[in-house]
Amino acid sequence: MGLGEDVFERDAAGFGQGAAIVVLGCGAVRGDLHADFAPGGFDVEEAPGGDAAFGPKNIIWAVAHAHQAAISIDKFCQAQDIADRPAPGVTLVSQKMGIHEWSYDNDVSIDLRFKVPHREKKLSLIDIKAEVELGFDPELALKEAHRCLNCDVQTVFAPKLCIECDACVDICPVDCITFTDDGEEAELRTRLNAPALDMTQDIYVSDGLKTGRIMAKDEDMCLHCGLCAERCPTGAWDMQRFLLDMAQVNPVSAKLEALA
Amino acid sequence: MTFLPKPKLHHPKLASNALGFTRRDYEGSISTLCAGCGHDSISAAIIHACFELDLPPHRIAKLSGIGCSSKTPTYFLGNSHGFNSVHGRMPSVLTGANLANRELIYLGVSGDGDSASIGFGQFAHSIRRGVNMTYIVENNGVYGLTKGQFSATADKGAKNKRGVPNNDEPIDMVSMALQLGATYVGRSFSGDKTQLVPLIKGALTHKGAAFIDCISPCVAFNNHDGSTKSFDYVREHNAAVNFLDVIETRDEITADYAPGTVEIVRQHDGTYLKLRKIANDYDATDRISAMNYLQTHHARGEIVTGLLYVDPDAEDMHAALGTAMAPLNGMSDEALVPGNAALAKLNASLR
Ligand SMILES: Cc1ncc(C[n+]2csc(CCOP(=O)(O)OP(=O)(O)O)c2C)c(N)n1
Ligand code: SF4
Ligand code: SF4
Ligand code: SF4
Ligand SMILES: [Mg+2]
Repeated sequence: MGLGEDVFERDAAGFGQGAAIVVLGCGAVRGDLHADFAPGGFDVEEAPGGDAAFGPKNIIWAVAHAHQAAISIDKFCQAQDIADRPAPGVTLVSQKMGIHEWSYDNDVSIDLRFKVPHREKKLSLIDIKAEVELGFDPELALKEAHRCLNCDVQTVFAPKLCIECDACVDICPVDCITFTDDGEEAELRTRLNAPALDMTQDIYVSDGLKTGRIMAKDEDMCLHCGLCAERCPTGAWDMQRFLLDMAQVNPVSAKLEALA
Repeated sequence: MTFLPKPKLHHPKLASNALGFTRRDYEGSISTLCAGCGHDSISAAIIHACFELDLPPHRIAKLSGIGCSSKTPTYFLGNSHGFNSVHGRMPSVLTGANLANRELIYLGVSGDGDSASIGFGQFAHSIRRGVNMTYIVENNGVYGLTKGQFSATADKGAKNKRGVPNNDEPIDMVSMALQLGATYVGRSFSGDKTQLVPLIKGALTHKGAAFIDCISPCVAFNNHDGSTKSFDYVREHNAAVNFLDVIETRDEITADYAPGTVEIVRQHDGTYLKLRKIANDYDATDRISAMNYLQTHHARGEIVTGLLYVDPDAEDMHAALGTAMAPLNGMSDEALVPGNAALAKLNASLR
């Protein structure tokens, strides 16, 4: 079953083609991605065009939906329940390389975004075919890459190792770590070193500390700078890279399975 | 330590004080102490205290001796005056600086080695002279900088990292300060900022010799089982007698407490110390009963913390000596060097 793969390749080749083929699976990704699926089969006629089920989106969504559609089609063809979705793969791996060294660039850059250099207006106005954006040179591209927010690198807390020395609290540039008495979340949020009042943003709360207090961290503020983990004497904080591997139909492994 | 400086970015809602400074403006360069060292928490507490009191950084002078603790003034108040003196000589250098310029706020930072061994005499005399200062001993029971030998504040029977017990009697810095006439005496723990920050604020606003013994675990050499200065031991044996709030105006004192549980003390500079009592029988304005209480509870193995003694009407060394009100650097040459005629007159008066 190579439809998902097919979609991906063509999509990568050009928007129009990719979008058209995504339509094939759109019944499967409509609504809550799969439950709307008509038992009789894929209703291609009825499907909205463009980026399949959810209206105009960018190529990334188009490809992601195509993968979901491919899983649905694959399951459907094998008479399996398409509501039963394969779980994504999740990995968390420590990025520690030495006492003060991480496998990622943890220095916080306070530079604003670097602008892409433009061709001189005079020239670009004369020649309609001339590219206006010149792109980054390697040096600027590297600088821009160093501004990465490292949002895939998570602070992971091991309460058993914590000796409650406050070193992480003291070093955190954005005051996002607090050790305090436990309480109801809404009330607890007001008691943090920097109150976390945006209820749409989760806080990270951990019990299991020797004094019976809890550790609460406002994830919304974290810069992923790793200073908490560098100042922690026991390794109770660790910086771990999070990788989410969305399930995809893989024609090769499917074939191997068939052969086995 | 870390190789990277602490990012300048701060919380978007970080508060400013009356001078327009944020708490981050009171920081220094990044610490090079061991990760988790109690001394770093005391630095953070000093930063909090100075920020909350709206102290102008350029009016503060930080003085220290030698040791990990004495290195810490580099890590806070980066815009204040600093003097890292010789081992054990901080109190004398501070006394001299204070004599020359009485208008600065003096913060002496020292260690148990620096103050209870080589600098013991200096410590004693600065206290008994009533030098107007905040004197903080960051007490970890060892010489951290020279790799963890027992200091003079290590308890008898406490074990070092290799299990060898200490045979000598400890010096209790708080008892010494009380006996020597300190007019503000407190003890706290680096792991308890709710208690420590107000205690430092009270000391900074106190006029006279204010002494704080702050237990500050050395994670590298004195945080094991058998140590009496470890995080676990101090938490288990901490017997707080009170918690302090420093209040800047009378209006802020709200009467929402049960009678007998709170004591209000008005200081010279107009600030109020609001003491929330934990041990009801403890009277923080009675020096002799404070000394008795400390001995009794020490014998029970308790570490008594809180504001242990305060004399709100204390006078300082300048009052005792009758020195000029102006700092020396604010006087004219004629006032500083009055000439032969004035000298002759003085000599004649002594004949
Ligand atoms: C005159 C002199 N004698 C001895 C030393 C060696 N020395 C350096 S630090 C220190 C002890 C410091 O202990 P403490 O004041 O408790 O500081 P800590 O490192 O524990 O914070 C000693 C003995 C010195 N630097 N100078
Ligand atoms: S990674 Fe940086 S910003 Fe995030 S909690 Fe740790 S010290 Fe604070
Ligand atoms: S620095 Fe580490 S040991 Fe210290 S309080 Fe933070 S997590 Fe706990
Ligand atoms: S040796 Fe001890 S006192 Fe010195 S920095 Fe390390 S933990 Fe702190
Ligand atoms: Mg020491």
